[in-house]
Amino acid sequence: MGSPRESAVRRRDWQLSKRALETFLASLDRDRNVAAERYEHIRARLLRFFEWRGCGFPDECADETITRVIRKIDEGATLQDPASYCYGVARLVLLEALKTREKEREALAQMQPLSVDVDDVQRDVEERLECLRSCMKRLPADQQTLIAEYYRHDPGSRIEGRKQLAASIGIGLNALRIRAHRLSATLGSCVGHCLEQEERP
Amino acid sequence: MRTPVDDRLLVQYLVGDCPEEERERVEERFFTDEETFERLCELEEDLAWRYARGELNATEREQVERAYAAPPRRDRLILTIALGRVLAEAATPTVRTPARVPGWKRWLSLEPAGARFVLAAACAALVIGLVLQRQQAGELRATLARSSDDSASLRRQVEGASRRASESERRIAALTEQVARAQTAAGESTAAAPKLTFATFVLTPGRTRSAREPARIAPPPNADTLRLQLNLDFEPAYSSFKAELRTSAGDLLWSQDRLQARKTADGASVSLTIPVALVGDGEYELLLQGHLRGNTLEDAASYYFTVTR
Repeated sequence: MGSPRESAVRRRDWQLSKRALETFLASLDRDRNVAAERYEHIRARLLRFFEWRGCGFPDECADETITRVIRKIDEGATLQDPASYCYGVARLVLLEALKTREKEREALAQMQPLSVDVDDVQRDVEERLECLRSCMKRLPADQQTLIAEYYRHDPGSRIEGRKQLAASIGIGLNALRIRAHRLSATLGSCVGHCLEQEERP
Repeated sequence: MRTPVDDRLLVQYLVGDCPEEERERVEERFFTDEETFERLCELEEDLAWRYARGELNATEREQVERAYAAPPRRDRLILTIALGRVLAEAATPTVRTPARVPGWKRWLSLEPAGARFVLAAACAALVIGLVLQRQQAGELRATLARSSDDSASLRRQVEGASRRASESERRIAALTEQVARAQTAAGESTAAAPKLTFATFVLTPGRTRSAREPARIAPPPNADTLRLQLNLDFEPAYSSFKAELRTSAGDLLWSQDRLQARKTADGASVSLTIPVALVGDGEYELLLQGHLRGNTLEDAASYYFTVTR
Protein backbone atom coordinates (compact mmCIF):
# COMPACT_ATOMS: atom_id res chain seq x y z
CA MET A 1 0.00 0.00 0.00
CA GLY A 2 2.76 2.46 0.93
CA SER A 3 2.64 5.63 3.00
CA PRO A 4 -0.04 8.30 2.54
CA ARG A 5 2.62 10.46 0.88
CA GLU A 6 3.47 7.68 -1.61
CA SER A 7 -0.23 7.23 -2.33
CA ALA A 8 -0.61 10.95 -2.96
CA VAL A 9 2.32 10.92 -5.38
CA ARG A 10 0.85 7.89 -7.18
CA ARG A 11 -2.48 9.69 -7.50
CA ARG A 12 -0.81 12.84 -8.81
CA ASP A 13 1.25 10.94 -11.37
CA TRP A 14 -1.55 8.66 -12.49
CA GLN A 15 -2.75 9.21 -16.03
CA LEU A 16 -5.76 7.92 -17.84
CA SER A 17 -4.69 5.08 -20.08
CA LYS A 18 -6.45 2.81 -22.53
CA ARG A 19 -5.88 -0.10 -20.22
CA ALA A 20 -7.48 1.74 -17.30
CA LEU A 21 -10.41 2.70 -19.46
CA GLU A 22 -10.85 -0.87 -20.64
CA THR A 23 -10.85 -2.07 -17.04
CA PHE A 24 -13.43 0.55 -16.12
CA LEU A 25 -15.71 -0.41 -19.02
CA ALA A 26 -15.34 -4.08 -18.20
CA SER A 27 -16.44 -3.29 -14.64
CA LEU A 28 -19.66 -1.81 -16.01
CA ASP A 29 -20.51 -4.80 -18.16
CA ARG A 30 -18.81 -7.57 -20.09
CA ASP A 31 -20.74 -6.65 -23.20
CA ARG A 32 -19.08 -3.62 -24.70
CA ASN A 33 -22.27 -2.04 -26.04
CA VAL A 34 -24.01 -2.45 -22.71
CA ALA A 35 -20.95 -0.99 -20.96
CA ALA A 36 -21.05 2.04 -23.27
CA GLU A 37 -24.71 2.52 -22.50
CA ARG A 38 -24.11 2.25 -18.77
CA TYR A 39 -21.30 4.76 -19.03
CA GLU A 40 -23.65 7.24 -20.71
CA HIS A 41 -26.24 6.46 -18.07
CA ILE A 42 -23.87 7.33 -15.23
CA ARG A 43 -22.50 10.42 -16.90
CA ALA A 44 -26.00 11.79 -17.52
CA ARG A 45 -26.76 11.46 -13.82
CA LEU A 46 -23.48 13.04 -12.82
CA LEU A 47 -24.16 16.05 -15.05
CA ARG A 48 -27.58 16.62 -13.54
CA PHE A 49 -26.33 16.00 -10.01
CA PHE A 50 -23.69 18.72 -10.33
CA GLU A 51 -26.14 21.04 -12.02
CA TRP A 52 -28.85 20.55 -9.41
CA ARG A 53 -26.29 21.08 -6.67
CA GLY A 54 -25.33 24.46 -8.08
CA CYS A 55 -21.98 23.55 -9.58
CA GLY A 56 -21.00 26.11 -12.22
CA PHE A 57 -19.23 23.62 -14.47
CA PRO A 58 -21.05 20.27 -14.39
CA ASP A 59 -19.09 18.87 -17.35
CA GLU A 60 -15.74 19.38 -15.70
CA CYS A 61 -16.94 17.95 -12.40
CA ALA A 62 -18.49 14.90 -14.12
CA ASP A 63 -15.24 14.24 -15.99
CA GLU A 64 -13.22 14.60 -12.81
CA THR A 65 -15.52 12.14 -11.04
CA ILE A 66 -15.25 9.54 -13.78
CA THR A 67 -11.49 9.95 -13.97
CA ARG A 68 -11.20 9.33 -10.23
CA VAL A 69 -13.40 6.26 -10.43
CA ILE A 70 -11.35 4.88 -13.34
CA ARG A 71 -8.18 5.47 -11.34
CA LYS A 72 -9.64 3.67 -8.36
CA ILE A 73 -10.51 0.67 -10.50
CA ASP A 74 -7.08 0.80 -12.15
CA GLU A 75 -5.58 0.63 -8.68
CA GLY A 76 -7.39 -2.63 -8.09
CA ALA A 77 -10.69 -1.67 -6.46
CA THR A 78 -13.69 -3.83 -7.25
CA LEU A 79 -17.00 -2.00 -7.45
CA GLN A 80 -20.21 -3.80 -6.57
CA ASP A 81 -22.35 -0.95 -7.79
CA PRO A 82 -20.48 1.50 -10.07
CA ALA A 83 -23.36 4.02 -10.18
CA SER A 84 -23.55 4.30 -6.41
CA TYR A 85 -19.79 4.47 -6.19
CA CYS A 86 -19.74 7.29 -8.73
CA TYR A 87 -22.29 9.14 -6.62
CA GLY A 88 -20.04 8.83 -3.57
CA VAL A 89 -17.04 10.19 -5.49
CA ALA A 90 -19.20 12.91 -7.04
CA ARG A 91 -20.13 14.22 -3.60
CA LEU A 92 -16.45 14.62 -2.75
CA VAL A 93 -15.76 16.35 -6.06
CA LEU A 94 -18.71 18.65 -5.42
CA LEU A 95 -17.45 19.60 -1.97
CA GLU A 96 -14.03 20.41 -3.38
CA ALA A 97 -15.50 22.41 -6.26
CA LEU A 98 -17.76 24.43 -3.98
CA LYS A 99 -14.92 25.05 -1.55
CA THR A 100 -12.63 26.24 -4.32
CA ARG A 101 -15.22 28.63 -5.65
CA GLU A 102 -16.63 29.75 -2.32
CA LYS A 103 -14.75 33.02 -2.25
CA GLU A 104 -15.57 33.66 -5.85
CA ARG A 105 -19.25 33.04 -5.14
CA GLU A 106 -19.23 35.33 -2.14
CA ALA A 107 -17.66 38.12 -4.17
CA LEU A 108 -20.25 37.64 -6.90
CA ALA A 109 -23.08 37.53 -4.38
CA GLN A 110 -21.98 40.92 -3.02
CA MET A 111 -21.93 42.41 -6.48
CA GLN A 112 -25.40 41.36 -7.54
CA PRO A 113 -28.24 39.43 -5.90
CA LEU A 114 -28.54 35.92 -7.30
CA SER A 115 -32.16 35.76 -8.24
CA VAL A 116 -34.19 35.96 -11.40
CA ASP A 117 -37.45 37.67 -12.10
CA VAL A 118 -40.24 36.29 -14.27
CA ASP A 119 -40.01 39.31 -16.56
CA ASP A 120 -36.24 38.86 -16.95
CA VAL A 121 -36.80 35.22 -17.82
CA GLN A 122 -39.56 36.04 -20.29
CA ARG A 123 -37.37 38.66 -21.90
CA ASP A 124 -34.53 36.16 -22.23
CA VAL A 125 -36.94 33.57 -23.62
CA GLU A 126 -38.24 36.06 -26.18
CA GLU A 127 -34.67 36.91 -27.18
CA ARG A 128 -33.99 33.27 -27.85
CA LEU A 129 -37.18 32.29 -29.67
CA GLU A 130 -36.15 33.39 -33.15
CA CYS A 131 -32.74 31.79 -32.77
CA LEU A 132 -34.29 28.61 -31.44
CA ARG A 133 -36.75 28.40 -34.33
CA SER A 134 -33.87 28.83 -36.74
CA CYS A 135 -31.76 26.24 -34.90
CA MET A 136 -34.66 23.77 -34.90
CA LYS A 137 -34.98 24.12 -38.66
CA ARG A 138 -31.32 23.25 -39.05
CA LEU A 139 -31.82 19.88 -37.36
CA PRO A 140 -32.46 16.92 -39.66
CA ALA A 141 -36.18 16.20 -40.04
CA ASP A 142 -36.11 13.04 -37.94
CA GLN A 143 -34.33 14.83 -35.09
CA GLN A 144 -36.94 17.59 -35.19
CA THR A 145 -39.60 14.91 -34.99
CA LEU A 146 -37.81 13.14 -32.15
CA ILE A 147 -37.52 16.22 -29.96
CA ALA A 148 -41.09 17.28 -30.71
CA GLU A 149 -42.39 13.81 -29.85
CA TYR A 150 -40.21 13.64 -26.76
CA TYR A 151 -41.71 16.79 -25.27
CA ARG A 152 -45.19 16.39 -26.76
CA HIS A 153 -47.07 14.54 -24.07
CA ASP A 154 -49.00 15.98 -21.15
CA PRO A 155 -47.45 15.57 -17.70
CA GLY A 156 -49.70 12.63 -16.85
CA SER A 157 -48.79 10.59 -19.90
CA ARG A 158 -45.28 11.77 -20.64
CA ILE A 159 -43.32 8.82 -19.26
CA GLU A 160 -45.62 6.33 -20.97
CA GLY A 161 -45.43 8.33 -24.19
CA ARG A 162 -41.66 8.35 -24.06
CA LYS A 163 -41.55 4.63 -23.41
CA GLN A 164 -43.64 4.09 -26.53
CA LEU A 165 -41.44 6.45 -28.51
CA ALA A 166 -38.29 4.64 -27.34
CA ALA A 167 -39.83 1.27 -28.20
CA SER A 168 -40.85 2.47 -31.65
CA ILE A 169 -37.28 3.60 -32.37
CA GLY A 170 -35.93 0.38 -30.93
CA ILE A 171 -33.89 1.86 -28.08
CA GLY A 172 -34.21 2.00 -24.30
CA LEU A 173 -35.89 4.85 -22.46
CA ASN A 174 -32.58 6.00 -21.04
CA ALA A 175 -30.94 6.02 -24.46
CA LEU A 176 -33.87 8.08 -25.73
CA ARG A 177 -33.52 10.52 -22.84
CA ILE A 178 -29.80 10.87 -23.51
CA ARG A 179 -30.49 11.47 -27.18
CA ALA A 180 -33.10 14.13 -26.35
CA HIS A 181 -30.71 15.69 -23.84
CA ARG A 182 -28.01 15.88 -26.50
CA LEU A 183 -30.39 17.43 -28.98
CA SER A 184 -31.42 19.92 -26.35
CA ALA A 185 -27.76 20.69 -25.60
CA THR A 186 -27.08 21.07 -29.33
CA LEU A 187 -29.96 23.50 -29.58
CA GLY A 188 -28.71 25.39 -26.51
CA SER A 189 -25.27 25.72 -28.04
CA CYS A 190 -26.72 26.75 -31.41
CA VAL A 191 -28.89 29.40 -29.72
CA GLY A 192 -25.81 30.70 -27.87
CA HIS A 193 -23.90 31.11 -31.15
CA CYS A 194 -26.92 32.69 -32.80
CA LEU A 195 -27.28 35.28 -30.01
CA GLU A 196 -23.57 36.07 -30.18
CA GLN A 197 -23.85 36.71 -33.90
CA GLU A 198 -26.87 38.96 -33.37
CA GLU A 199 -24.98 40.99 -30.78
CA ARG A 200 -22.05 41.57 -33.12
CA PRO A 201 -22.17 45.00 -34.79
CA MET B 1 -40.28 -3.15 -6.69
CA ARG B 2 -39.19 0.07 -4.99
CA THR B 3 -41.71 2.62 -3.78
CA PRO B 4 -41.65 5.72 -5.98
CA VAL B 5 -40.26 8.85 -4.36
CA ASP B 6 -42.95 11.41 -3.58
CA ASP B 7 -43.18 14.08 -6.29
CA ARG B 8 -43.36 16.78 -3.63
CA LEU B 9 -39.98 15.73 -2.28
CA LEU B 10 -38.52 15.66 -5.79
CA VAL B 11 -39.73 19.20 -6.45
CA GLN B 12 -38.31 20.30 -3.10
CA TYR B 13 -35.02 18.76 -4.17
CA LEU B 14 -35.08 20.66 -7.45
CA VAL B 15 -35.67 24.01 -5.77
CA GLY B 16 -33.22 23.27 -2.95
CA ASP B 17 -35.88 23.19 -0.27
CA CYS B 18 -35.11 19.96 1.55
CA PRO B 19 -32.65 18.99 4.29
CA GLU B 20 -29.29 17.50 3.35
CA GLU B 21 -30.40 14.05 4.51
CA GLU B 22 -33.36 14.09 2.15
CA ARG B 23 -31.23 15.43 -0.66
CA GLU B 24 -28.87 12.52 -0.32
CA ARG B 25 -31.79 10.10 -0.26
CA VAL B 26 -33.10 11.52 -3.51
CA GLU B 27 -29.65 11.45 -5.10
CA GLU B 28 -28.95 7.87 -4.07
CA ARG B 29 -32.26 6.95 -5.67
CA PHE B 30 -31.81 8.74 -8.95
CA PHE B 31 -28.31 7.36 -9.43
CA THR B 32 -29.63 3.82 -9.21
CA ASP B 33 -33.27 4.06 -10.23
CA GLU B 34 -34.28 4.91 -13.77
CA GLU B 35 -37.83 5.96 -12.93
CA THR B 36 -36.75 8.42 -10.25
CA PHE B 37 -34.25 10.11 -12.54
CA GLU B 38 -36.73 10.30 -15.39
CA ARG B 39 -39.38 11.71 -13.06
CA LEU B 40 -36.98 14.37 -11.74
CA CYS B 41 -36.16 15.51 -15.27
CA GLU B 42 -39.85 15.56 -16.11
CA LEU B 43 -40.75 17.56 -13.00
CA GLU B 44 -38.02 20.05 -13.81
CA GLU B 45 -39.51 20.62 -17.26
CA ASP B 46 -42.98 21.05 -15.76
CA LEU B 47 -41.65 23.45 -13.16
CA ALA B 48 -40.11 25.60 -15.89
CA TRP B 49 -43.28 25.64 -17.98
CA ARG B 50 -45.55 26.32 -14.99
CA TYR B 51 -43.24 29.12 -13.94
CA ALA B 52 -43.39 30.64 -17.41
CA ARG B 53 -47.19 30.41 -17.48
CA GLY B 54 -47.49 32.09 -14.08
CA GLU B 55 -49.03 28.99 -12.50
CA LEU B 56 -46.79 28.88 -9.42
CA ASN B 57 -47.76 30.53 -6.17
CA ALA B 58 -45.55 33.26 -4.73
CA THR B 59 -43.48 30.90 -2.56
CA GLU B 60 -42.90 28.42 -5.36
CA ARG B 61 -41.99 31.21 -7.73
CA GLU B 62 -39.44 32.62 -5.32
CA GLN B 63 -37.93 29.18 -4.80
CA VAL B 64 -37.56 28.67 -8.55
CA GLU B 65 -36.10 32.13 -9.00
CA ARG B 66 -33.55 31.46 -6.28
CA ALA B 67 -32.64 27.94 -7.43
CA TYR B 68 -32.37 28.89 -11.09
CA ALA B 69 -30.65 32.23 -10.58
CA ALA B 70 -27.25 31.30 -11.97
CA PRO B 71 -25.99 29.41 -15.00
CA PRO B 72 -26.12 26.64 -16.02
CA ARG B 73 -29.49 26.15 -14.30
CA ARG B 74 -30.78 29.52 -15.45
CA ASP B 75 -29.80 28.66 -19.02
CA ARG B 76 -31.67 25.36 -18.76
CA LEU B 77 -34.77 27.12 -17.40
CA ILE B 78 -34.80 29.63 -20.24
CA LEU B 79 -34.07 27.04 -22.92
CA THR B 80 -36.76 24.71 -21.58
CA ILE B 81 -39.36 27.48 -21.64
CA ALA B 82 -38.31 28.62 -25.11
CA LEU B 83 -38.28 25.04 -26.37
CA GLY B 84 -41.78 24.51 -24.98
CA ARG B 85 -42.99 27.59 -26.84
CA VAL B 86 -41.37 26.62 -30.14
CA LEU B 87 -42.53 23.01 -29.92
CA ALA B 88 -46.06 24.12 -29.09
CA GLU B 89 -46.05 26.06 -32.35
CA ALA B 90 -44.55 23.13 -34.20
CA ALA B 91 -46.97 20.65 -32.63
CA THR B 92 -49.87 22.25 -34.43
CA PRO B 93 -49.44 20.37 -37.74
CA THR B 94 -49.56 17.01 -36.01
CA VAL B 95 -52.94 17.89 -34.62
CA ARG B 96 -54.10 19.44 -37.83
CA THR B 97 -53.53 16.56 -40.20
CA PRO B 98 -57.08 15.17 -40.16
CA ALA B 99 -58.53 18.59 -40.95
CA ARG B 100 -58.82 17.28 -44.46
CA VAL B 101 -61.39 14.66 -43.40
CA PRO B 102 -64.67 15.28 -45.26
CA GLY B 103 -67.12 17.47 -43.40
CA TRP B 104 -69.89 14.86 -43.00
CA LYS B 105 -67.51 12.59 -41.08
CA ARG B 106 -66.68 15.39 -38.70
CA TRP B 107 -70.37 15.86 -38.03
CA LEU B 108 -70.59 12.21 -37.09
CA SER B 109 -67.69 12.33 -34.72
CA LEU B 110 -67.50 15.78 -33.20
CA GLU B 111 -68.98 16.42 -29.80
CA PRO B 112 -68.27 19.21 -29.04
CA ALA B 113 -66.55 20.53 -32.17
CA GLY B 114 -62.83 20.19 -31.83
CA ALA B 115 -62.13 17.87 -28.95
CA ARG B 116 -62.68 14.54 -30.67
CA PHE B 117 -61.17 15.84 -33.81
CA VAL B 118 -57.93 16.67 -32.05
CA LEU B 119 -57.90 13.20 -30.53
CA ALA B 120 -58.47 11.55 -33.90
CA ALA B 121 -55.72 13.64 -35.44
CA ALA B 122 -53.28 12.65 -32.73
CA CYS B 123 -54.13 8.97 -33.23
CA ALA B 124 -53.63 9.20 -36.98
CA ALA B 125 -50.29 10.96 -36.56
CA LEU B 126 -49.24 8.40 -33.98
CA VAL B 127 -50.05 5.48 -36.29
CA ILE B 128 -48.11 7.07 -39.15
CA GLY B 129 -45.25 7.81 -36.78
CA LEU B 130 -45.18 4.28 -35.42
CA VAL B 131 -45.05 2.76 -38.90
CA LEU B 132 -42.21 5.07 -39.92
CA GLN B 133 -40.35 4.54 -36.70
CA ARG B 134 -40.62 0.77 -37.01
CA GLN B 135 -39.01 1.01 -40.42
CA GLN B 136 -36.30 3.24 -38.99
CA ALA B 137 -35.74 0.85 -36.10
CA GLY B 138 -35.17 -2.02 -38.53
CA GLU B 139 -32.58 -0.01 -40.40
CA LEU B 140 -30.97 1.07 -37.13
CA ARG B 141 -30.55 -2.55 -36.03
CA ALA B 142 -28.97 -3.44 -39.39
CA THR B 143 -26.60 -0.48 -39.12
CA LEU B 144 -25.71 -1.32 -35.55
CA ALA B 145 -24.92 -4.91 -36.50
CA ARG B 146 -22.44 -3.73 -39.13
CA SER B 147 -20.77 -1.23 -36.88
CA SER B 148 -17.48 -2.41 -35.44
CA ASP B 149 -15.63 0.61 -34.16
CA ASP B 150 -17.37 1.15 -30.83
CA SER B 151 -14.34 0.87 -28.67
CA ALA B 152 -12.20 3.46 -30.45
CA SER B 153 -15.03 5.96 -30.33
CA LEU B 154 -15.74 5.34 -26.67
CA ARG B 155 -12.12 5.90 -25.75
CA ARG B 156 -12.17 9.21 -27.57
CA GLN B 157 -15.35 10.08 -25.74
CA VAL B 158 -13.85 9.58 -22.30
CA GLU B 159 -10.43 10.98 -23.04
CA GLY B 160 -11.43 14.35 -24.39
CA ALA B 161 -14.13 16.75 -23.29
CA SER B 162 -14.37 18.17 -26.77
CA ARG B 163 -14.77 14.70 -28.29
CA ARG B 164 -17.60 13.53 -26.08
CA ALA B 165 -19.95 12.61 -28.86
CA SER B 166 -20.19 8.87 -28.60
CA GLU B 167 -19.94 6.26 -31.28
CA SER B 168 -23.58 5.44 -30.81
CA GLU B 169 -24.40 9.02 -31.66
CA ARG B 170 -22.33 8.79 -34.82
CA ARG B 171 -24.19 5.67 -35.75
CA ILE B 172 -27.43 7.53 -35.17
CA ALA B 173 -26.22 10.33 -37.42
CA ALA B 174 -25.38 7.77 -40.09
CA LEU B 175 -28.78 6.23 -39.62
CA THR B 176 -30.40 9.64 -39.80
CA GLU B 177 -28.89 10.22 -43.22
CA GLN B 178 -29.83 6.74 -44.29
CA VAL B 179 -33.42 7.19 -43.14
CA ALA B 180 -33.64 10.64 -44.70
CA ARG B 181 -32.43 9.22 -48.01
CA ALA B 182 -34.88 6.35 -47.78
CA GLN B 183 -37.74 8.69 -46.89
CA THR B 184 -36.90 11.02 -49.75
CA ALA B 185 -36.79 8.10 -52.13
CA ALA B 186 -40.09 6.77 -50.91
CA GLY B 187 -41.69 10.20 -50.71
CA GLU B 188 -42.31 9.68 -47.03
CA SER B 189 -40.55 12.73 -45.67
CA THR B 190 -43.61 14.84 -46.31
CA ALA B 191 -45.75 12.47 -44.28
CA ALA B 192 -43.24 12.44 -41.42
CA ALA B 193 -43.11 16.21 -41.14
CA PRO B 194 -46.26 17.68 -42.63
CA LYS B 195 -45.91 21.22 -43.81
CA LEU B 196 -48.07 23.85 -42.17
CA THR B 197 -50.41 25.89 -44.26
CA PHE B 198 -51.24 29.20 -42.62
CA ALA B 199 -54.13 31.50 -43.30
CA THR B 200 -53.40 34.97 -41.95
CA PHE B 201 -56.05 37.49 -40.89
CA VAL B 202 -55.80 40.91 -39.28
CA LEU B 203 -58.31 41.79 -36.58
CA THR B 204 -59.07 45.16 -35.03
CA PRO B 205 -60.51 45.47 -31.54
CA GLY B 206 -64.18 46.11 -30.82
CA ARG B 207 -65.51 47.32 -27.51
CA THR B 208 -68.63 45.18 -27.66
CA ARG B 209 -69.90 42.39 -29.85
CA SER B 210 -72.40 44.72 -31.51
CA ALA B 211 -70.10 47.74 -31.79
CA ARG B 212 -69.13 46.81 -35.28
CA GLU B 213 -69.72 44.10 -37.79
CA PRO B 214 -67.54 41.18 -36.72
CA ALA B 215 -64.67 40.39 -39.06
CA ARG B 216 -65.36 37.53 -41.41
CA ILE B 217 -62.79 34.82 -41.64
CA ALA B 218 -62.95 32.20 -44.34
CA PRO B 219 -60.02 29.84 -43.97
CA PRO B 220 -58.96 28.23 -47.25
CA PRO B 221 -59.76 24.48 -47.36
CA ASN B 222 -56.07 23.57 -47.24
CA ALA B 223 -55.26 25.80 -44.22
CA ASP B 224 -54.09 23.99 -41.09
CA THR B 225 -53.52 27.02 -38.96
CA LEU B 226 -55.05 30.44 -38.51
CA ARG B 227 -52.50 33.15 -37.90
CA LEU B 228 -54.30 36.10 -36.36
CA GLN B 229 -52.72 39.51 -36.10
CA LEU B 230 -54.50 41.38 -33.33
CA ASN B 231 -53.98 45.10 -33.90
CA LEU B 232 -53.77 47.13 -30.71
CA ASP B 233 -55.46 50.52 -30.47
CA PHE B 234 -53.37 51.53 -27.46
CA GLU B 235 -49.72 51.77 -26.46
CA PRO B 236 -48.80 48.31 -25.15
CA ALA B 237 -47.60 48.97 -21.59
CA TYR B 238 -47.99 45.36 -20.53
CA SER B 239 -45.10 42.99 -20.04
CA SER B 240 -46.98 40.33 -22.03
CA PHE B 241 -50.48 39.23 -23.00
CA LYS B 242 -52.82 36.33 -22.53
CA ALA B 243 -55.33 35.47 -25.26
CA GLU B 244 -58.52 33.46 -24.77
CA LEU B 245 -60.69 32.23 -27.61
CA ARG B 246 -64.34 31.67 -26.72
CA THR B 247 -67.46 30.72 -28.60
CA SER B 248 -70.37 33.14 -28.77
CA ALA B 249 -71.84 31.15 -25.88
CA GLY B 250 -68.76 31.94 -23.81
CA ASP B 251 -67.18 28.46 -23.84
CA LEU B 252 -63.40 28.60 -23.67
CA LEU B 253 -61.86 26.85 -26.70
CA TRP B 254 -58.21 27.80 -26.47
CA SER B 255 -55.85 30.09 -24.63
CA GLN B 256 -52.23 31.10 -24.77
CA ASP B 257 -50.22 33.11 -22.29
CA ARG B 258 -47.08 35.21 -22.43
CA LEU B 259 -47.68 36.59 -25.89
CA GLN B 260 -45.55 39.56 -26.81
CA ALA B 261 -46.61 42.68 -28.69
CA ARG B 262 -44.68 43.66 -31.78
CA LYS B 263 -44.40 47.05 -33.40
CA THR B 264 -46.04 47.40 -36.79
CA ALA B 265 -46.24 50.23 -39.29
CA ASP B 266 -49.59 51.31 -37.79
CA GLY B 267 -48.79 50.85 -34.11
CA ALA B 268 -48.49 47.51 -32.42
CA SER B 269 -50.00 44.07 -32.67
CA VAL B 270 -50.02 40.66 -31.04
CA SER B 271 -49.82 37.62 -33.29
CA LEU B 272 -51.07 34.18 -32.45
CA THR B 273 -51.70 30.93 -34.22
CA ILE B 274 -54.76 28.77 -33.72
CA PRO B 275 -55.46 25.34 -35.16
CA VAL B 276 -58.14 25.70 -37.85
CA ALA B 277 -59.84 22.57 -36.58
CA LEU B 278 -60.74 24.35 -33.35
CA VAL B 279 -63.12 26.69 -35.09
CA GLY B 280 -66.16 25.64 -37.05
CA ASP B 281 -68.65 28.00 -38.67
CA GLY B 282 -69.88 30.51 -36.12
CA GLU B 283 -69.08 33.58 -34.06
CA TYR B 284 -66.09 33.84 -31.77
CA GLU B 285 -64.61 36.23 -29.27
CA LEU B 286 -60.90 36.66 -28.62
CA LEU B 287 -60.16 38.34 -25.32
CA LEU B 288 -56.71 39.83 -24.95
CA GLN B 289 -55.55 40.44 -21.40
CA GLY B 290 -52.37 42.27 -20.40
CA HIS B 291 -49.97 41.26 -17.64
CA LEU B 292 -49.31 44.04 -15.16
CA ARG B 293 -46.51 44.08 -12.60
CA GLY B 294 -47.18 41.49 -9.92
CA ASN B 295 -48.55 39.16 -12.56
CA THR B 296 -52.11 40.46 -12.40
CA LEU B 297 -54.16 40.43 -15.57
CA GLU B 298 -56.19 43.28 -17.02
CA ASP B 299 -58.63 43.13 -19.93
CA ALA B 300 -56.89 44.93 -22.79
CA ALA B 301 -58.98 44.33 -25.90
CA SER B 302 -61.66 42.10 -27.42
CA TYR B 303 -61.89 40.91 -30.99
CA TYR B 304 -65.00 39.48 -32.56
CA PHE B 305 -65.04 37.45 -35.72
CA THR B 306 -67.20 35.06 -37.66
CA VAL B 307 -65.83 31.95 -39.33
CA THR B 308 -67.41 30.80 -42.54
CA ARG B 309 -66.09 28.07 -44.78
